[in-house]
Amino acid sequence: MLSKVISKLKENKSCETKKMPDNVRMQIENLNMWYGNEQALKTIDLNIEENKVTAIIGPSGCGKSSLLRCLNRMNDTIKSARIEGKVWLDGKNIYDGAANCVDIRRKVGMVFQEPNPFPFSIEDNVFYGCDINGMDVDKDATVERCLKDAALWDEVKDRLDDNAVSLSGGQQQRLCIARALATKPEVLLMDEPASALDPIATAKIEDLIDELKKDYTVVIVTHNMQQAARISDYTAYMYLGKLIEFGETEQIFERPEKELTEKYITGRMG
Amino acid sequence: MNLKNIETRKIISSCIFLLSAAVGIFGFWSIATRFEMQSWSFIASLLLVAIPYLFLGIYHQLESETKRAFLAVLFGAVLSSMIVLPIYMPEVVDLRQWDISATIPNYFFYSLVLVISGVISGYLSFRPFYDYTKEGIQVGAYYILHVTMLLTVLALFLIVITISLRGASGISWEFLTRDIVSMGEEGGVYPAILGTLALIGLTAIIVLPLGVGTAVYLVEYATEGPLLRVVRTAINILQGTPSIVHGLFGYTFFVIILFDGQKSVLAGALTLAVLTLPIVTRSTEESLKSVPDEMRNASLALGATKWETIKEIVIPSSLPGILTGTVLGLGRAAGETAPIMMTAVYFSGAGTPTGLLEPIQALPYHLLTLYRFFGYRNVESQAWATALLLLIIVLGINLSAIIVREKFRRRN
Amino acid sequence: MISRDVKNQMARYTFLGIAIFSISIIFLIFIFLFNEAYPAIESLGTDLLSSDWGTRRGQYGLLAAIYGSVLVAVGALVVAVPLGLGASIYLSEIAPDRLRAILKPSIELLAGIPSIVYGFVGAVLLGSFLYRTFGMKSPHSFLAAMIILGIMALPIIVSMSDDALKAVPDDVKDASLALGATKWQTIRKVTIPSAISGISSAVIMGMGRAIGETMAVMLIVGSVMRIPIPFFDIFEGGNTLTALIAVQIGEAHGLLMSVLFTAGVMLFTIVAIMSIVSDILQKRTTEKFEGKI
Repeated sequence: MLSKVISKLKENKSCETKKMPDNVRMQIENLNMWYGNEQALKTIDLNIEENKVTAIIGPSGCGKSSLLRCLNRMNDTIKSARIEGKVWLDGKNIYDGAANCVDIRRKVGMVFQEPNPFPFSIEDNVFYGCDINGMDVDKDATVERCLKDAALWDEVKDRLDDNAVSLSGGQQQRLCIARALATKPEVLLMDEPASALDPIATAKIEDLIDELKKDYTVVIVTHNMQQAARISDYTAYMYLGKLIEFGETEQIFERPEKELTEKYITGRMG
Repeated sequence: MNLKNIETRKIISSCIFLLSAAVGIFGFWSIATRFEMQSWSFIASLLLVAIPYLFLGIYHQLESETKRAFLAVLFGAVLSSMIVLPIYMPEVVDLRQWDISATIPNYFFYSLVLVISGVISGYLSFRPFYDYTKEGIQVGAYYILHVTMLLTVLALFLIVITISLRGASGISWEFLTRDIVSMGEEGGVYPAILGTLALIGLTAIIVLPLGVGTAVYLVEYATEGPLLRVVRTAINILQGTPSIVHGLFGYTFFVIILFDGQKSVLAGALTLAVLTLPIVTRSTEESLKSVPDEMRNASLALGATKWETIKEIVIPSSLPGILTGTVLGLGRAAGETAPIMMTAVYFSGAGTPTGLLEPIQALPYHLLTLYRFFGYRNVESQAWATALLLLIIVLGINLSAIIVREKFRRRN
Repeated sequence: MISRDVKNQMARYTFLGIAIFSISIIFLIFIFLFNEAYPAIESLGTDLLSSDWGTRRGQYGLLAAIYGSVLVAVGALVVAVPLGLGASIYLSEIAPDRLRAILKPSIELLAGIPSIVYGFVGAVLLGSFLYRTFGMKSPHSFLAAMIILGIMALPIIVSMSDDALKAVPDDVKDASLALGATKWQTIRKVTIPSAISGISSAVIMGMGRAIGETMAVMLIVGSVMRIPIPFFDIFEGGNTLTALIAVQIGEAHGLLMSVLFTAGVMLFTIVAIMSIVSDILQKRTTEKFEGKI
């Protein structure tokens, strides 16, 4: 009888699955979101292509950060948030009741607006993700790989034991990127990663994103249109919780189809 | 959404949780009853301890976790044997035989082990139901955190509730308004109430100008430097100094040197003022610092002098903080016994205070006096009532301060 | 009429006068204590640290009381730290907002229960309960004092650790969650290590309260001036520095008085070191996230 109960527990754990189009890493389908009674996202449909940089732009308060946080279920930490709709990752709906949100967050890494390193050593910061996910990998090698990927290795290789908060803002942000890379995520979400940084540090981060897309799929939220134009392959324009226009970056910035988009990118709004 | 899955887990987990909680409670109970167990309770507790581990073991085995299964059953067996041992082989668990101490009691550590084992087994029980993932650890850890919170609240509230239950019957109009009669066996505590109020009042009068004035100087006038740091450190140290040390100082300095060996309400109030001075100073400093500099500058730019700025802007806007700190300090003063024991109160007898240089009776010390008569005189109900009254006064003072603070916090 | 300028100057000097007065009182206490303790230290020297106490024989060894103070404080921490830390983690990280809004102020309120009340309850109920249950020699025991002092230290430890845990910024916790950590992993590996200075400062403050506690200890621990045999036997009674002062001060004069002052200075020094360390630790918590380390 006990084994029956167990097998029942097991079979109930499977998620809803779906065949996704080729080259599409994540698919957002009919996504709605509320903070309390206020609707923050209105029926969003969006495909995120593999090994490309997708930028989400729009005036502040348009829901671009909320959308980003839907992609790794970080909105679960906000008590008043309510989400309807589906987000597909590898053919599985991450909002399925049986989906494991801890597992999803390992697969979908995130870099935040403000650099937020842990007050530990640089080394421990990078290795943290592997540690908590019980990944059996070599610490030194992982730290070196991630710091190199994040273009920080040369600056910190002699002081891996230093406290991470002693780094400069730009270095901290690259450390946060390295930290996110350690768990080998499939998708990397970036929430205005350069907004708190000076121009030189920003340029470094932008170069880095260009490098990263070889191995990762990147979604970046930015309020800086030049930045979106510089680094992204696809651009989504959002306004008041709605996805107004989505297309290749060149097309969005040179031949926008919607009037709202044109108004925004020509600077007559926002 | 697959409810069934999660619900089933929750049910099974909570069954094991309850059983392990039962083991813990059984441990407590075994302390309380000195193991004078009936056979039925013995069998029941044996099953209570053994079943969850057996169940866990089977579950582990089905999941092909042989090592964990073995450990679970072994752990259960050890726990069960700990129940059997004191019944059939009391000499084994009796720590006295090992000459550790003549007074280390029977079963004490044994019961303690049982309590802790109950908590640990609860912690472990959740793992198999979460496929040995980190979520299982989280549920177990949360369970332990819940237990600690429960025990903390229980310990604190139990004291308040015990005093309320035992003291409530003794509090009456007579108790509040009559003199202390025959060493507190009869009559009331009127002089002690008056004495405590006089002490608090005098302390407030002394400490308020001193504490607030010092804080104003330190924040508004003094310039940062090594001298100020020394002063701040001294104030911090004085705040942490045990109250008996204040009593020692008050006794020799105020009573012996200043008042020629005569205890008095004034000497007590002076001692309590020294005790509360750092509390009032520090909290006033904190609230003065929380006034933004823009407000000061705005006032100065309008042509106000520094004193006018302090009087009209700084102090009014930091008043709630100052009041809260002062009242909390007075709440502490009201309940202190050690500093007034040697400076303000007399051993026994009745009478209401008549002058500043007369000794008085105070509630905390009266409680101590009554306790000293336990077993000699019939003072129990009076003592509990006094304890309750003291608790009401002190917590009432603190409550009013906390309410002011919360209101102020919400307004900001 | 006095001009505004004069008023301004008068205010300044009034505040200066008050400040000098209060501060000189504070330093007076320090100087006074050391001054009164000096005769005993001079005439008894290291005898003060022996374990031989007999006022009639003129033996004033304080070791038993020092040991008692430390034993009781450590025991109180053994009771209070696991409970207090667990409760503060529960309060700051898990408790629903509404429950927190009730529990936090209530626990802070209960921090104000007077020590004589704790002592009374401890001596009347707990002491005699343990005495009856375990057949101890007397109702006075270190164990009962440890339990009661542990409960007394709980509100401080809970409230201060809760503040420290709450001071860890949410975005650092979010970073951990975004890497796939569970909430508990985040608490254990990020929140607690980040708040560790504040938590240690809370523990030190709790210990300071336990060491400095007088009335509760005096009523519960008894006043036997000797070290228990074996030394870890917490089921016997003993004495602490605070209880020693409280009991002896009534009849003390001359050298004994000075010895009591020495005990006071010892207490005072222990607590002073603790409060300085606690202050430093607390400052470190706030500095940690401002990048000053």
